[in-house]
Amino acid sequence: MRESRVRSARWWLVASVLAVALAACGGGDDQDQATATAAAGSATTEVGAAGAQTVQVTVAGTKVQTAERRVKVPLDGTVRLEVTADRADEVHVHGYDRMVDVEPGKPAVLEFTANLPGVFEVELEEASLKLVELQVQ
Amino acid sequence: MRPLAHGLGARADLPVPVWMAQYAAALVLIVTFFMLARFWESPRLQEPYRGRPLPMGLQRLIDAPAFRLALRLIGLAALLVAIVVAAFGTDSSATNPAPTWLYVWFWVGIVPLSLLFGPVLRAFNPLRLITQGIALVSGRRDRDDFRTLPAWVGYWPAAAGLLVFTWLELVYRNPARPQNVLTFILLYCVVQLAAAAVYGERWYAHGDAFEVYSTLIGRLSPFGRRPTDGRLVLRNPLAGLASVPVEPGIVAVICVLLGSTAFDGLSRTQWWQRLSGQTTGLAYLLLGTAGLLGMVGLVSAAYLAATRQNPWARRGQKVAVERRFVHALLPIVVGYTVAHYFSLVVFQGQAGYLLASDPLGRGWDLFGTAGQQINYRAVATATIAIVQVVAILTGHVLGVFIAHDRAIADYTRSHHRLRAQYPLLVVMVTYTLGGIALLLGA
Repeated sequence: MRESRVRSARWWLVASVLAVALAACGGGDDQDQATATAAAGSATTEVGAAGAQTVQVTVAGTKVQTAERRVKVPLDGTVRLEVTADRADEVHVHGYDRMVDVEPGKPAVLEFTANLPGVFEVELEEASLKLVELQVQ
Repeated sequence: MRPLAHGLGARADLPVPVWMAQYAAALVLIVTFFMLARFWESPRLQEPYRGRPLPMGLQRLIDAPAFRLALRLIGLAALLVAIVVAAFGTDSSATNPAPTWLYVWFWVGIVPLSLLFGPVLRAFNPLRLITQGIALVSGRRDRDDFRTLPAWVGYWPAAAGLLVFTWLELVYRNPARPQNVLTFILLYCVVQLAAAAVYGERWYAHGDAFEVYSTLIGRLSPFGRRPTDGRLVLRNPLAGLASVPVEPGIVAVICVLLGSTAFDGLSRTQWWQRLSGQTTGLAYLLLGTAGLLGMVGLVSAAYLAATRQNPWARRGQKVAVERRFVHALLPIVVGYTVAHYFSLVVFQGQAGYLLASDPLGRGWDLFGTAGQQINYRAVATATIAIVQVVAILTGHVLGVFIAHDRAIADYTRSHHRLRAQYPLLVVMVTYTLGGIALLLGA
Protein backbone atom coordinates (compact mmCIF):
# COMPACT_ATOMS: atom_id res chain seq x y z
CA MET A 1 0.00 0.00 0.00
CA ARG A 2 2.77 2.42 0.95
CA GLU A 3 4.64 1.55 -2.19
CA SER A 4 1.63 2.33 -4.32
CA ARG A 5 1.18 5.65 -2.51
CA VAL A 6 4.73 6.61 -3.39
CA ARG A 7 4.18 5.54 -6.99
CA SER A 8 1.00 7.53 -7.24
CA ALA A 9 2.69 10.61 -5.79
CA ARG A 10 5.42 10.31 -8.40
CA TRP A 11 2.82 9.86 -11.12
CA TRP A 12 0.99 12.94 -10.01
CA LEU A 13 4.14 15.00 -10.07
CA VAL A 14 4.93 13.94 -13.64
CA ALA A 15 1.35 14.51 -14.80
CA SER A 16 1.03 17.97 -13.32
CA VAL A 17 4.41 19.03 -14.70
CA LEU A 18 3.26 17.80 -18.11
CA ALA A 19 -0.03 19.66 -17.91
CA VAL A 20 1.59 22.90 -16.81
CA ALA A 21 4.28 22.61 -19.48
CA LEU A 22 1.66 22.08 -22.15
CA ALA A 23 -0.41 25.03 -21.01
CA ALA A 24 2.71 27.20 -20.89
CA CYS A 25 3.63 26.02 -24.39
CA GLY A 26 0.30 27.12 -25.79
CA GLY A 27 0.60 30.54 -24.19
CA GLY A 28 4.18 31.01 -25.33
CA ASP A 29 3.34 30.24 -28.93
CA ASP A 30 0.68 32.86 -28.93
CA GLN A 31 2.94 35.57 -27.68
CA ASP A 32 5.65 34.68 -30.18
CA GLN A 33 3.15 34.81 -32.96
CA ALA A 34 1.77 38.14 -31.82
CA THR A 35 5.15 39.82 -31.55
CA ALA A 36 6.35 38.33 -34.82
CA THR A 37 3.40 39.62 -36.77
CA ALA A 38 3.57 42.99 -35.05
CA ALA A 39 7.24 43.43 -35.92
CA ALA A 40 6.88 42.22 -39.48
CA GLY A 41 3.66 44.12 -39.98
CA SER A 42 5.28 47.50 -39.61
CA ALA A 43 8.09 46.54 -41.95
CA THR A 44 6.16 45.17 -44.89
CA THR A 45 2.55 45.94 -45.38
CA GLU A 46 2.02 49.55 -46.03
CA VAL A 47 -1.29 51.25 -46.50
CA GLY A 48 -1.15 53.16 -49.74
CA ALA A 49 -2.64 56.52 -50.53
CA ALA A 50 -5.76 54.91 -51.96
CA GLY A 51 -6.25 52.92 -48.75
CA ALA A 52 -5.13 49.64 -50.30
CA GLN A 53 -2.94 47.34 -48.22
CA THR A 54 0.07 46.32 -50.28
CA VAL A 55 1.59 42.84 -49.94
CA GLN A 56 4.85 42.26 -51.79
CA VAL A 57 6.22 38.83 -52.65
CA THR A 58 9.38 37.89 -54.55
CA VAL A 59 10.03 34.36 -55.85
CA ALA A 60 13.42 32.97 -56.94
CA GLY A 61 13.56 29.23 -57.59
CA THR A 62 11.74 27.66 -54.66
CA LYS A 63 12.60 30.54 -52.32
CA VAL A 64 9.72 32.83 -51.45
CA GLN A 65 10.50 36.23 -49.97
CA THR A 66 7.83 38.00 -47.99
CA ALA A 67 7.96 40.04 -44.84
CA GLU A 68 5.28 37.91 -43.21
CA ARG A 69 3.98 34.46 -43.99
CA ARG A 70 0.53 35.51 -42.83
CA VAL A 71 -0.76 39.01 -43.47
CA LYS A 72 -3.66 40.39 -41.47
CA VAL A 73 -6.21 42.21 -43.61
CA PRO A 74 -9.31 44.00 -42.32
CA LEU A 75 -12.60 42.60 -43.63
CA ASP A 76 -13.84 44.60 -46.63
CA GLY A 77 -10.45 46.30 -46.95
CA THR A 78 -8.62 46.52 -50.30
CA VAL A 79 -5.59 44.29 -50.85
CA ARG A 80 -2.93 45.04 -53.44
CA LEU A 81 -0.84 41.97 -54.14
CA GLU A 82 2.48 42.52 -55.95
CA VAL A 83 4.26 39.36 -57.02
CA THR A 84 7.65 39.25 -58.76
CA ALA A 85 8.81 35.85 -59.99
CA ASP A 86 11.76 34.47 -61.97
CA ARG A 87 9.47 32.56 -64.33
CA ALA A 88 6.12 32.74 -66.06
CA ASP A 89 3.35 31.36 -63.89
CA GLU A 90 -0.01 32.22 -62.44
CA VAL A 91 -0.76 33.71 -59.01
CA HIS A 92 -3.89 32.26 -57.43
CA VAL A 93 -5.72 33.63 -54.37
CA HIS A 94 -7.64 30.62 -53.03
CA GLY A 95 -11.19 31.10 -51.83
CA TYR A 96 -11.50 34.38 -53.68
CA ASP A 97 -10.46 32.53 -56.84
CA ARG A 98 -8.58 35.52 -58.20
CA MET A 99 -5.86 34.81 -60.74
CA VAL A 100 -3.20 36.92 -62.43
CA ASP A 101 -0.43 35.90 -64.85
CA VAL A 102 3.11 36.72 -63.89
CA GLU A 103 6.00 37.20 -66.36
CA PRO A 104 9.67 36.66 -65.41
CA GLY A 105 11.01 39.75 -63.64
CA LYS A 106 7.90 41.85 -64.14
CA PRO A 107 5.77 42.37 -61.05
CA ALA A 108 2.20 41.15 -61.39
CA VAL A 109 -0.39 43.20 -59.55
CA LEU A 110 -3.74 41.99 -58.26
CA GLU A 111 -6.06 44.32 -56.40
CA PHE A 112 -9.29 43.15 -54.80
CA THR A 113 -11.64 43.75 -51.89
CA ALA A 114 -11.19 41.26 -49.05
CA ASN A 115 -14.87 40.60 -48.41
CA LEU A 116 -14.69 36.95 -47.22
CA PRO A 117 -13.55 36.28 -43.64
CA GLY A 118 -11.07 33.49 -42.95
CA VAL A 119 -7.50 32.51 -43.73
CA PHE A 120 -6.74 32.16 -47.44
CA GLU A 121 -3.67 30.92 -49.24
CA VAL A 122 -1.98 32.71 -52.13
CA GLU A 123 -0.20 30.25 -54.38
CA LEU A 124 2.03 30.21 -57.43
CA GLU A 125 -0.15 27.77 -59.30
CA GLU A 126 2.12 25.85 -61.73
CA ALA A 127 4.98 25.62 -59.26
CA SER A 128 2.59 24.68 -56.41
CA LEU A 129 4.46 27.18 -54.30
CA LYS A 130 2.75 28.81 -51.33
CA LEU A 131 3.48 32.54 -51.33
CA VAL A 132 1.62 34.00 -48.39
CA GLU A 133 -1.56 33.62 -46.35
CA LEU A 134 -4.16 36.35 -46.00
CA GLN A 135 -5.92 36.46 -42.66
CA VAL A 136 -9.09 38.45 -43.31
CA GLN A 137 -11.05 39.50 -40.22
CA MET B 1 2.30 22.70 -51.67
CA ARG B 2 -0.97 21.51 -50.29
CA PRO B 3 -3.80 23.94 -49.72
CA LEU B 4 -4.51 24.82 -46.14
CA ALA B 5 -6.62 22.00 -44.83
CA HIS B 6 -7.09 18.40 -45.91
CA GLY B 7 -5.86 19.24 -49.38
CA LEU B 8 -9.34 20.57 -49.93
CA GLY B 9 -11.01 23.83 -49.21
CA ALA B 10 -9.49 27.15 -50.02
CA ARG B 11 -10.20 28.64 -46.64
CA ALA B 12 -9.07 28.03 -43.07
CA ASP B 13 -10.59 29.27 -39.83
CA LEU B 14 -9.46 32.40 -38.10
CA PRO B 15 -7.44 31.84 -34.95
CA VAL B 16 -9.24 32.31 -31.64
CA PRO B 17 -7.57 33.81 -28.53
CA VAL B 18 -6.89 30.44 -26.93
CA TRP B 19 -5.87 31.22 -23.37
CA MET B 20 -9.36 32.28 -22.36
CA ALA B 21 -10.96 29.16 -23.83
CA GLN B 22 -8.24 27.04 -22.20
CA TYR B 23 -8.75 28.39 -18.68
CA ALA B 24 -12.53 28.15 -19.00
CA ALA B 25 -12.35 24.58 -20.30
CA ALA B 26 -9.92 23.38 -17.62
CA LEU B 27 -12.08 24.95 -14.92
CA VAL B 28 -15.29 23.39 -16.24
CA LEU B 29 -13.68 19.93 -16.37
CA ILE B 30 -12.34 20.09 -12.84
CA VAL B 31 -15.58 21.45 -11.39
CA THR B 32 -17.55 18.74 -13.23
CA PHE B 33 -15.24 16.10 -11.85
CA PHE B 34 -15.69 17.11 -8.23
CA MET B 35 -19.43 17.60 -8.62
CA LEU B 36 -19.64 14.05 -9.95
CA ALA B 37 -17.49 12.71 -7.15
CA ARG B 38 -19.83 14.30 -4.64
CA PHE B 39 -23.25 13.65 -6.17
CA TRP B 40 -23.00 10.72 -8.61
CA GLU B 41 -22.62 7.74 -6.35
CA SER B 42 -24.04 4.76 -8.17
CA PRO B 43 -23.43 3.73 -11.79
CA ARG B 44 -26.20 4.77 -14.15
CA LEU B 45 -24.67 4.33 -17.59
CA GLN B 46 -23.73 0.67 -17.61
CA GLU B 47 -26.79 -0.82 -19.32
CA PRO B 48 -26.52 0.02 -23.00
CA TYR B 49 -29.62 -1.83 -24.09
CA ARG B 50 -32.11 -0.67 -21.50
CA GLY B 51 -34.67 1.53 -23.19
CA ARG B 52 -38.00 1.75 -24.89
CA PRO B 53 -38.41 -0.74 -27.79
CA LEU B 54 -39.30 0.79 -31.17
CA PRO B 55 -42.79 0.01 -32.55
CA MET B 56 -42.91 -3.47 -34.06
CA GLY B 57 -43.98 -2.13 -37.46
CA LEU B 58 -40.91 0.08 -37.72
CA GLN B 59 -38.65 -2.76 -36.61
CA ARG B 60 -40.14 -5.08 -39.26
CA LEU B 61 -39.50 -2.50 -41.96
CA ILE B 62 -35.90 -1.92 -40.86
CA ASP B 63 -35.16 -5.63 -40.60
CA ALA B 64 -36.84 -6.55 -43.88
CA PRO B 65 -34.30 -8.19 -46.26
CA ALA B 66 -35.57 -6.00 -49.10
CA PHE B 67 -34.88 -2.87 -47.05
CA ARG B 68 -31.36 -4.03 -46.15
CA LEU B 69 -30.70 -4.86 -49.79
CA ALA B 70 -32.02 -1.47 -50.92
CA LEU B 71 -29.64 0.36 -48.55
CA ARG B 72 -26.63 -1.57 -49.82
CA LEU B 73 -27.68 -1.03 -53.42
CA ILE B 74 -27.73 2.72 -52.67
CA GLY B 75 -24.25 2.32 -51.19
CA LEU B 76 -23.07 0.45 -54.27
CA ALA B 77 -24.51 3.09 -56.61
CA ALA B 78 -22.79 5.86 -54.64
CA LEU B 79 -19.48 3.99 -54.80
CA LEU B 80 -19.76 3.43 -58.56
CA VAL B 81 -20.70 7.06 -59.26
CA ALA B 82 -17.73 8.24 -57.17
CA ILE B 83 -15.37 5.91 -59.07
CA VAL B 84 -16.67 7.00 -62.48
CA VAL B 85 -16.50 10.70 -61.62
CA ALA B 86 -13.01 10.37 -60.12
CA ALA B 87 -11.83 8.41 -63.16
CA PHE B 88 -13.44 10.31 -66.02
CA GLY B 89 -13.97 13.82 -64.62
CA THR B 90 -11.43 16.63 -64.72
CA ASP B 91 -8.18 16.21 -62.81
CA SER B 92 -8.71 19.03 -60.33
CA SER B 93 -10.66 19.15 -57.08
CA ALA B 94 -11.81 22.65 -58.05
CA THR B 95 -14.00 21.21 -60.81
CA ASN B 96 -14.30 17.51 -59.94
CA PRO B 97 -16.69 16.76 -57.05
CA ALA B 98 -15.25 13.32 -56.21
CA PRO B 99 -12.59 14.56 -53.72
CA THR B 100 -15.18 16.65 -51.85
CA TRP B 101 -17.48 13.62 -51.77
CA LEU B 102 -14.76 11.44 -50.26
CA TYR B 103 -13.16 13.82 -47.75
CA VAL B 104 -16.16 15.92 -46.75
CA TRP B 105 -19.44 14.14 -47.47
CA PHE B 106 -18.30 10.58 -46.76
CA TRP B 107 -15.50 10.87 -44.22
CA VAL B 108 -17.04 13.69 -42.17
CA GLY B 109 -20.63 12.66 -42.88
CA ILE B 110 -20.05 9.28 -41.19
CA VAL B 111 -19.99 11.04 -37.82
CA PRO B 112 -23.37 12.84 -37.68
CA LEU B 113 -25.19 9.99 -39.43
CA SER B 114 -23.77 7.36 -37.08
CA LEU B 115 -24.45 9.58 -34.07
CA LEU B 116 -28.10 9.81 -35.10
CA PHE B 117 -28.85 6.34 -36.44
CA GLY B 118 -26.13 3.98 -35.22
CA PRO B 119 -23.89 1.85 -37.47
CA VAL B 120 -25.03 3.34 -40.80
CA LEU B 121 -22.00 2.33 -42.81
CA ARG B 122 -22.59 -1.33 -42.01
CA ALA B 123 -26.11 -0.87 -43.37
CA PHE B 124 -24.94 0.84 -46.57
CA ASN B 125 -21.62 -0.98 -47.04
CA PRO B 126 -21.44 -1.90 -50.75
CA LEU B 127 -18.43 -4.16 -50.17
CA ARG B 128 -20.55 -6.41 -48.00
CA LEU B 129 -23.02 -6.65 -50.87
CA ILE B 130 -20.27 -7.63 -53.31
CA THR B 131 -18.92 -10.23 -50.89
CA GLN B 132 -22.44 -11.64 -50.44
CA GLY B 133 -22.85 -11.76 -54.23
CA ILE B 134 -19.58 -13.65 -54.64
CA ALA B 135 -20.57 -16.05 -51.87
CA LEU B 136 -23.89 -16.68 -53.60
CA VAL B 137 -22.24 -17.43 -56.93
CA SER B 138 -19.38 -19.54 -55.56
CA GLY B 139 -21.60 -21.42 -53.11
CA ARG B 140 -19.32 -20.63 -50.14
CA ARG B 141 -21.97 -19.56 -47.74
CA ASP B 142 -21.14 -21.34 -44.48
CA ARG B 143 -19.08 -19.79 -41.74
CA ASP B 144 -16.85 -22.88 -41.94
CA ASP B 145 -15.92 -22.03 -45.52
CA PHE B 146 -13.84 -19.12 -44.26
CA ARG B 147 -10.93 -18.75 -41.95
CA THR B 148 -11.51 -17.33 -38.47
CA LEU B 149 -9.80 -14.05 -37.68
CA PRO B 150 -7.43 -14.75 -34.75
CA ALA B 151 -8.64 -13.13 -31.53
CA TRP B 152 -5.50 -11.05 -31.06
CA VAL B 153 -6.10 -9.27 -34.38
CA GLY B 154 -9.21 -7.53 -33.04
CA TYR B 155 -9.51 -4.02 -34.41
CA TRP B 156 -5.87 -3.61 -35.43
CA PRO B 157 -6.64 -3.81 -39.20
CA ALA B 158 -9.14 -0.97 -38.80
CA ALA B 159 -6.62 1.09 -36.84
CA ALA B 160 -4.11 0.56 -39.66
CA GLY B 161 -6.69 1.48 -42.29
CA LEU B 162 -7.59 4.69 -40.48
CA LEU B 163 -3.92 5.58 -40.17
CA VAL B 164 -3.42 5.09 -43.92
CA PHE B 165 -6.46 7.22 -44.77
CA THR B 166 -5.49 10.05 -42.41
CA TRP B 167 -1.94 9.87 -43.79
CA LEU B 168 -3.33 10.36 -47.29
CA GLU B 169 -5.58 13.17 -46.09
CA LEU B 170 -3.08 15.06 -43.95
CA VAL B 171 0.45 14.14 -45.02
CA TYR B 172 0.42 13.26 -48.69
CA ARG B 173 1.07 16.19 -51.01
CA ASN B 174 -1.94 16.02 -53.30
CA PRO B 175 -4.66 14.12 -51.45
CA ALA B 176 -7.45 15.97 -53.23
CA ARG B 177 -6.29 15.20 -56.76
CA PRO B 178 -9.06 13.13 -58.35
CA GLN B 179 -6.52 10.57 -59.64
CA ASN B 180 -5.24 9.99 -56.11
CA VAL B 181 -8.79 9.74 -54.81
CA LEU B 182 -9.50 7.12 -57.49
CA THR B 183 -6.37 5.15 -56.67
CA PHE B 184 -7.21 5.16 -52.97
CA ILE B 185 -10.81 4.03 -53.49
CA LEU B 186 -9.84 1.22 -55.87
CA LEU B 187 -6.94 -0.02 -53.74
CA TYR B 188 -9.07 0.11 -50.60
CA CYS B 189 -11.87 -1.90 -52.22
CA VAL B 190 -9.48 -4.50 -53.60
CA VAL B 191 -7.73 -5.02 -50.24
CA GLN B 192 -11.04 -5.23 -48.37
CA LEU B 193 -12.62 -7.65 -50.86
CA ALA B 194 -9.52 -9.84 -50.81
CA ALA B 195 -9.52 -9.98 -47.01
CA ALA B 196 -13.23 -10.78 -47.02
CA ALA B 197 -12.59 -13.57 -49.52
CA VAL B 198 -10.38 -15.20 -46.89
CA TYR B 199 -12.23 -14.33 -43.67
CA GLY B 200 -15.79 -14.01 -44.94
CA GLU B 201 -18.20 -11.15 -44.41
CA ARG B 202 -17.29 -11.07 -40.74
CA TRP B 203 -14.06 -9.35 -41.80
CA TYR B 204 -15.75 -6.00 -42.33
CA ALA B 205 -16.80 -5.57 -38.71
CA HIS B 206 -13.11 -5.65 -37.72
CA GLY B 207 -11.15 -4.76 -40.82
CA ASP B 208 -13.11 -2.13 -42.74
CA ALA B 209 -11.76 1.08 -41.23
CA PHE B 210 -14.77 3.17 -42.20
CA GLU B 211 -17.34 0.64 -41.01
CA VAL B 212 -15.52 0.22 -37.70
CA TYR B 213 -15.41 4.02 -37.32
CA SER B 214 -19.13 4.31 -38.04
CA THR B 215 -20.08 1.43 -35.73
CA LEU B 216 -17.95 2.89 -32.96
CA ILE B 217 -19.53 6.35 -33.24
CA GLY B 218 -22.91 4.60 -33.48
CA ARG B 219 -22.46 3.34 -29.91
CA LEU B 220 -23.26 6.93 -28.95
CA SER B 221 -26.53 6.95 -30.88
CA PRO B 222 -29.98 6.90 -29.27
CA PHE B 223 -30.74 3.59 -31.01
CA GLY B 224 -29.37 0.22 -29.96
CA ARG B 225 -30.11 -3.40 -30.77
CA ARG B 226 -30.74 -5.60 -27.75
CA PRO B 227 -28.46 -8.65 -28.16
CA THR B 228 -30.90 -10.96 -26.35
CA ASP B 229 -33.82 -10.68 -28.78
CA GLY B 230 -32.62 -8.33 -31.54
CA ARG B 231 -35.15 -5.64 -30.64
CA LEU B 232 -34.27 -2.06 -31.52
CA VAL B 233 -34.50 0.21 -28.50
CA LEU B 234 -34.49 3.93 -27.93
CA ARG B 235 -31.97 4.48 -25.16
CA ASN B 236 -29.83 6.99 -23.34
CA PRO B 237 -26.97 7.58 -25.83
CA LEU B 238 -24.43 7.87 -23.03
CA ALA B 239 -25.41 4.45 -21.74
CA GLY B 240 -24.88 3.13 -25.27
CA LEU B 241 -21.18 3.85 -24.85
CA ALA B 242 -20.94 1.05 -22.30
CA SER B 243 -21.29 -1.33 -25.26
CA VAL B 244 -18.01 -0.23 -26.84
CA PRO B 245 -16.17 -3.52 -27.41
CA VAL B 246 -13.08 -4.31 -25.39
CA GLU B 247 -11.26 -6.33 -28.06
CA PRO B 248 -7.57 -5.78 -28.91
CA GLY B 249 -6.82 -2.72 -31.03
CA ILE B 250 -9.78 -0.67 -29.85
CA VAL B 251 -7.49 1.74 -28.00
CA ALA B 252 -5.40 2.08 -31.17
CA VAL B 253 -8.44 2.93 -33.30
CA ILE B 254 -9.48 5.73 -30.96
CA CYS B 255 -5.93 7.04 -30.50
CA VAL B 256 -5.40 7.18 -34.29
CA LEU B 257 -8.58 9.26 -34.59
CA LEU B 258 -7.52 11.63 -31.81
CA GLY B 259 -3.87 11.80 -32.85
CA SER B 260 -4.63 12.55 -36.50
CA THR B 261 -6.87 15.45 -35.47
CA ALA B 262 -4.08 16.74 -33.26
CA PHE B 263 -1.63 16.46 -36.16
CA ASP B 264 -3.93 18.38 -38.46
CA GLY B 265 -3.98 21.18 -35.88
CA LEU B 266 -0.21 21.02 -35.53
CA SER B 267 0.37 21.08 -39.28
CA ARG B 268 -1.58 24.33 -39.55
CA THR B 269 0.55 26.19 -37.02
CA GLN B 270 2.97 28.76 -38.39
CA TRP B 271 5.77 26.87 -36.65
CA TRP B 272 5.06 23.66 -38.55
CA GLN B 273 4.50 25.45 -41.84
CA ARG B 274 7.89 27.18 -41.54
CA LEU B 275 9.47 23.79 -40.77
CA SER B 276 7.78 21.87 -43.59
CA GLY B 277 8.13 24.78 -46.01
CA GLN B 278 11.87 24.12 -46.10
CA THR B 279 11.49 20.51 -47.17
CA THR B 280 10.62 19.05 -50.54
CA GLY B 281 9.84 15.64 -51.98
CA LEU B 282 10.67 12.71 -49.77
CA ALA B 283 11.82 14.84 -46.84
CA TYR B 284 8.42 16.57 -46.79
CA LEU B 285 6.62 13.23 -46.66
CA LEU B 286 8.94 11.86 -43.98
CA LEU B 287 8.49 14.95 -41.83
CA GLY B 288 4.70 14.74 -42.16
CA THR B 289 4.71 11.00 -41.42
CA ALA B 290 6.86 11.57 -38.35
CA GLY B 291 4.51 14.35 -37.22
CA LEU B 292 1.41 12.18 -37.65
CA LEU B 293 2.93 9.15 -35.92
CA GLY B 294 4.32 11.42 -33.22
CA MET B 295 0.94 12.91 -32.38
CA VAL B 296 -0.77 9.48 -32.38
CA GLY B 297 2.06 8.27 -30.12
CA LEU B 298 1.70 11.20 -27.73
CA VAL B 299 -2.06 10.78 -27.42
CA SER B 300 -1.71 7.02 -26.86
CA ALA B 301 1.13 7.36 -24.37
CA ALA B 302 -0.81 9.88 -22.28
CA TYR B 303 -3.89 7.65 -22.20
CA LEU B 304 -1.99 4.43 -21.50
CA ALA B 305 0.02 6.09 -18.74
CA ALA B 306 -3.16 7.26 -17.07
CA THR B 307 -4.82 3.86 -17.14
CA ARG B 308 -2.05 1.26 -17.02
CA GLN B 309 0.27 2.96 -14.61
CA ASN B 310 -2.54 3.51 -12.19
CA PRO B 311 -1.90 1.13 -9.26
CA TRP B 312 -5.51 1.10 -8.04
CA ALA B 313 -7.07 0.49 -11.39
CA ARG B 314 -5.16 -2.75 -11.81
CA ARG B 315 -6.86 -4.90 -9.23
CA GLY B 316 -9.16 -7.73 -10.08
CA GLN B 317 -9.75 -6.90 -13.73
CA LYS B 318 -10.28 -9.54 -16.39
CA VAL B 319 -10.11 -7.02 -19.20
CA ALA B 320 -7.12 -4.69 -19.49
CA VAL B 321 -7.89 -1.45 -17.68
CA GLU B 322 -7.14 0.74 -20.68
CA ARG B 323 -9.92 -0.98 -22.60
CA ARG B 324 -12.38 -0.59 -19.74
CA PHE B 325 -12.04 3.19 -19.95
CA VAL B 326 -11.47 3.78 -23.65
CA HIS B 327 -15.15 4.48 -24.33
CA ALA B 328 -14.72 7.68 -22.31
CA LEU B 329 -12.56 8.97 -25.16
CA LEU B 330 -15.27 8.50 -27.77
CA PRO B 331 -17.28 11.67 -26.98
CA ILE B 332 -13.92 13.48 -27.14
CA VAL B 333 -13.31 12.07 -30.63
CA VAL B 334 -16.73 13.33 -31.69
CA GLY B 335 -16.12 16.75 -30.11
CA TYR B 336 -12.84 17.19 -31.95
CA THR B 337 -14.34 15.98 -35.21
CA VAL B 338 -17.04 18.63 -34.99
CA ALA B 339 -14.54 21.34 -34.00
CA HIS B 340 -12.14 20.27 -36.71
CA TYR B 341 -14.47 19.82 -39.66
CA PHE B 342 -17.40 22.13 -38.97
CA SER B 343 -16.30 24.95 -41.26
CA LEU B 344 -15.01 22.51 -43.88
CA VAL B 345 -18.48 20.97 -44.07
CA VAL B 346 -20.42 24.24 -44.21
CA PHE B 347 -18.13 25.77 -46.85
CA GLN B 348 -16.32 23.07 -48.85
CA GLY B 349 -19.34 20.77 -48.38
CA GLN B 350 -21.24 23.09 -50.72
CA ALA B 351 -18.83 22.17 -53.53
CA GLY B 352 -20.11 18.60 -53.35
CA TYR B 353 -23.44 19.59 -54.88
CA LEU B 354 -22.33 22.71 -56.80
CA LEU B 355 -19.82 20.62 -58.78
CA ALA B 356 -22.21 17.67 -59.11
CA SER B 357 -24.02 19.58 -61.85
CA ASP B 358 -21.09 18.99 -64.17
CA PRO B 359 -19.33 15.96 -62.67
CA LEU B 360 -17.35 14.97 -65.75
CA GLY B 361 -16.37 18.46 -66.91
CA ARG B 362 -18.42 18.29 -70.09
CA GLY B 363 -20.27 21.57 -69.64
CA TRP B 364 -23.42 19.92 -68.29
CA ASP B 365 -25.75 21.60 -65.81
CA LEU B 366 -27.70 18.70 -64.28
CA PHE B 367 -28.96 20.43 -61.15
CA GLY B 368 -28.76 24.06 -62.22
CA THR B 369 -25.82 24.77 -59.90
CA ALA B 370 -23.00 24.81 -62.48
CA GLY B 371 -20.70 27.80 -62.20
CA GLN B 372 -21.98 28.84 -58.78
CA GLN B 373 -19.42 29.78 -56.15
CA ILE B 374 -19.11 28.58 -52.56
CA ASN B 375 -20.88 30.98 -50.22
CA TYR B 376 -18.20 31.81 -47.64
CA ARG B 377 -20.59 33.97 -45.69
CA ALA B 378 -23.09 31.17 -45.00
CA VAL B 379 -21.90 31.04 -41.38
CA ALA B 380 -20.25 33.86 -39.41
CA THR B 381 -16.69 33.36 -38.19
CA ALA B 382 -17.77 34.00 -34.58
CA THR B 383 -20.30 31.16 -34.85
CA ILE B 384 -17.56 28.83 -36.07
CA ALA B 385 -15.32 29.68 -33.12
CA ILE B 386 -18.17 29.16 -30.62
CA VAL B 387 -19.13 25.81 -32.16
CA GLN B 388 -15.50 24.69 -31.95
CA VAL B 389 -15.00 25.58 -28.29
CA VAL B 390 -18.39 24.19 -27.23
CA ALA B 391 -17.81 20.92 -29.16
CA ILE B 392 -14.41 20.29 -27.60
CA LEU B 393 -15.63 21.14 -24.11
CA THR B 394 -18.83 19.07 -24.37
CA GLY B 395 -16.81 16.07 -25.56
CA HIS B 396 -14.49 16.28 -22.59
CA VAL B 397 -17.20 16.88 -20.00
CA LEU B 398 -19.07 13.81 -21.29
CA GLY B 399 -15.77 11.91 -21.18
CA VAL B 400 -15.40 12.76 -17.48
CA PHE B 401 -18.99 11.58 -16.86
CA ILE B 402 -18.38 8.28 -18.62
CA ALA B 403 -15.07 7.61 -16.90
CA HIS B 404 -16.62 8.39 -13.52
CA ASP B 405 -19.54 6.06 -14.11
CA ARG B 406 -17.24 3.22 -15.16
CA ALA B 407 -14.97 3.81 -12.17
CA ILE B 408 -17.81 3.52 -9.66
CA ALA B 409 -19.10 0.44 -11.48
CA ASP B 410 -15.68 -1.26 -11.46
CA TYR B 411 -14.41 -0.36 -7.99
CA THR B 412 -16.22 -0.90 -4.77
CA ARG B 413 -14.01 1.01 -2.38
CA SER B 414 -14.77 4.70 -2.51
CA HIS B 415 -11.15 5.87 -2.33
CA HIS B 416 -10.19 3.54 -5.19
CA ARG B 417 -13.06 4.86 -7.25
CA LEU B 418 -11.86 8.41 -7.01
CA ARG B 419 -8.15 7.72 -7.30
CA ALA B 420 -8.65 5.59 -10.39
CA GLN B 421 -9.98 8.70 -12.08
CA TYR B 422 -7.36 11.29 -11.10
CA PRO B 423 -4.85 10.31 -13.79
CA LEU B 424 -7.61 10.21 -16.39
CA LEU B 425 -8.76 13.66 -15.34
CA VAL B 426 -5.22 14.96 -15.80
CA VAL B 427 -5.12 13.43 -19.27
CA MET B 428 -8.47 14.94 -20.21
CA VAL B 429 -7.44 18.40 -19.02
CA THR B 430 -4.18 18.00 -20.96
CA TYR B 431 -6.01 16.89 -24.12
CA THR B 432 -8.42 19.81 -23.79
CA LEU B 433 -5.73 22.44 -23.37
CA GLY B 434 -3.62 20.95 -26.15
CA GLY B 435 -6.60 20.43 -28.44
CA ILE B 436 -7.84 23.98 -28.05
CA ALA B 437 -4.34 25.38 -28.63
CA LEU B 438 -3.78 23.25 -31.74
CA LEU B 439 -7.20 23.44 -33.35
CA LEU B 440 -8.17 27.00 -32.58
CA GLY B 441 -4.89 28.84 -32.17
CA ALA B 442 -3.20 27.97 -35.45
